[in-house]
Amino acid sequence: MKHSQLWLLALLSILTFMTASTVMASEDAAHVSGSWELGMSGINTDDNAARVNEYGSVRAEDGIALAPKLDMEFKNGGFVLEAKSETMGPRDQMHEIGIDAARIFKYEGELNVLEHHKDHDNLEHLGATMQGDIDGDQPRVFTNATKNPEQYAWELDQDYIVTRREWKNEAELVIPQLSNITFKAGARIETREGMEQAIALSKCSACHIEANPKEIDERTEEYTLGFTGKFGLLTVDYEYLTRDFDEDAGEPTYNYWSSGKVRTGSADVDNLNYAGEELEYNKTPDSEKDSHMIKARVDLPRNTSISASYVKADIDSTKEEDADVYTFVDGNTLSSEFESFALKGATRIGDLRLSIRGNTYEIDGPEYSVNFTNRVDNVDFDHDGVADTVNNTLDNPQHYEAAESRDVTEFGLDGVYRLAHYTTLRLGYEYEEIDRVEEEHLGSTETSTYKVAANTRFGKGLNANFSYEYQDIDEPFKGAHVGIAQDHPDATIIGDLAYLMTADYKDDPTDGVDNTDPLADGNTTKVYYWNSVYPSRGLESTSEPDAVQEAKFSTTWAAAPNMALTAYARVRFEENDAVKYEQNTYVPGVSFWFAPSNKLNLTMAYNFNKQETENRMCVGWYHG
Amino acid sequence: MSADYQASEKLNLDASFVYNFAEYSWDWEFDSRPTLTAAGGSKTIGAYDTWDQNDLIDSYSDLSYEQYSITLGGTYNFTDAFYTTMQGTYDIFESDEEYVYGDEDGKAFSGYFAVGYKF
Repeated sequence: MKHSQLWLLALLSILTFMTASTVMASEDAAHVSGSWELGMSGINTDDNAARVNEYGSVRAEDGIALAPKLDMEFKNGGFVLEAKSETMGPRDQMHEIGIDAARIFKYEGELNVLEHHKDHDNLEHLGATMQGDIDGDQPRVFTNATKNPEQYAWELDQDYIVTRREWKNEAELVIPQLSNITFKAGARIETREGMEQAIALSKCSACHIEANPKEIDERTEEYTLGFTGKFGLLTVDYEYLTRDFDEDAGEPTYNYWSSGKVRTGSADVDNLNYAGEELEYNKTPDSEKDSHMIKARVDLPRNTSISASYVKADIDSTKEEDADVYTFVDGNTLSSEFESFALKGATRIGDLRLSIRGNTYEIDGPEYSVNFTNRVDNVDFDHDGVADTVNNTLDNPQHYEAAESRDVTEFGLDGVYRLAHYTTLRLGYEYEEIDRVEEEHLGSTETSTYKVAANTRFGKGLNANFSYEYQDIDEPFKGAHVGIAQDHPDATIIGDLAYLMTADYKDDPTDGVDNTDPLADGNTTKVYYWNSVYPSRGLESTSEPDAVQEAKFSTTWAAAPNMALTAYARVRFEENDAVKYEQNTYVPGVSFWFAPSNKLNLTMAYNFNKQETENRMCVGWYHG
Repeated sequence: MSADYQASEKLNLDASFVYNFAEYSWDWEFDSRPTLTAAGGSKTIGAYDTWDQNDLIDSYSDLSYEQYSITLGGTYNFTDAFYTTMQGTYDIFESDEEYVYGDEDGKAFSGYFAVGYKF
């Protein structure tokens, strides 16, 4: 199907080009202008090239390269051909071509090649917590630096570089007999090749973290067909898009070490699904997307317009399966749907420009079940040598529902009022409601945004802009109600926080309350992470703010024709009292342009960015 | 900062300098944190809940680096159409801490030389 679309686009282009050339033949003489350069580029790096040559100018390795450039325009009557090409090295290229054939056919093509040094985490920072474990047998978070030094050294020696190529094509056709309709077609092919770092952790929380190189061989093909039609006051846009994403590289493998720990007569390894095995991870699924988008706009008298749009998209994601590890019960292709309606109206009433808009969209993510081949019931969770049967049955197959599934409603109102000749005042309000299908766990978020902005000019050389925005967010994503201690009747309040004490998980025969097994997990004697730390989480789990304020200011002063000073600042305050979160951001800056003579231009700029974050956190400890 | 200078009718020079400094730090405030209590069991919560167990977060989070980029270039027009151009850039990256990405110190010199023709 994709090949037939390409051939259709090519055939359409050739026919139109021939038609347009015939029209042009009788017009003005041809004219060519532009420039070319033939040069050499080179790079030499010392030490680590990852930052000084992060976006591979010239090339990733030291050396020289042929570096030709071309900038050309050819005009012949109504025909215009523009070409621009810059090659600094094999992985640093840009090529553009544009054709305008008597405005009947237009084509723009662009090819970009870019090489990027990717981040390479050495995993050392993972030893920041619990490196001096009181058990003394191991750091609680460890990597192959201790478990497999040879693999660790080999991985550190890898270069993670990805080359991205993107080829974009857009064509427009206007048939003279149907001049109110512009037919459009597009094609985009993007490839990513190279290697990235893939980090994985073990089955038992973060006991063992390992990094491996992951080959990247991705190809995205995207094709669009559509039209823009003008029918009197009505303008209609339609676009069909189909996109395929394929990943052809192999996956890295992770070594699931076999735990030798024995607790109360029970070996960890007896409870593990994967021990002493090397399994694939970090698989990127292939996916397909098809969407239809239609927009309509009616332009009415008195600067009034009404526009509406509808978008429908279907996405299929094909997951990998491994019969020895997991399989999908109803097929390994998971489907999502997206559907959106939007309506907007704008008008002018005297000096007031008013717009109102509403939008609603639904994401219907996949529901699916996964069968874990080695999962069994009645595991010896408390290591007492006896398989547990109380509250100890894991679902198999396990059912999952996508967290992305949601209904979203948005509404906005904007007013711009001209206070004086060079002064405008803008007031705005936006409302967003996100109803997540998994509302019980993920919550439902409501956001109200209030905006005020002013723009003015003080005489010829000085102007200023100011804006302020306040957001009130009710129940920000995510997981608002996961704290077990939340609203618990036995919770103890320390400061502002609610805590459950470990003692609450042991029966006090004098209190008349039988809480020998408050979690009903069959564990009445031991103090573990899940019956001591998890229950004490009294705070909501979100890391998002529930109140945001942001102010921006900028002013430009052109003191003389040969100089201009611009000063600007952005200040943002985020907070969420429920989780004791606060983040303040300050971004002031200044730029100055000065041309002391016709021969000299000077530009100076200074930017400052400061961000302070304060929050509570729970640093995990693990005991294998 | 950057400068563009028309030195003569045939020679144009340009230069730029960019400096970037970034740092990040983390501070614990253990004193303001309530502690858990534990009675019996296989481990004592209090033993896990000490400065000694987590103090490395402070030093591991002290990230800092500096970047310098200096560019010099020029174009000489032999005639109205025929010219030559040259540009050189020297980049320096100095990382003062290397807990996340290792030692990223590096220097790079990249250059471009060409002859060109306008038509």
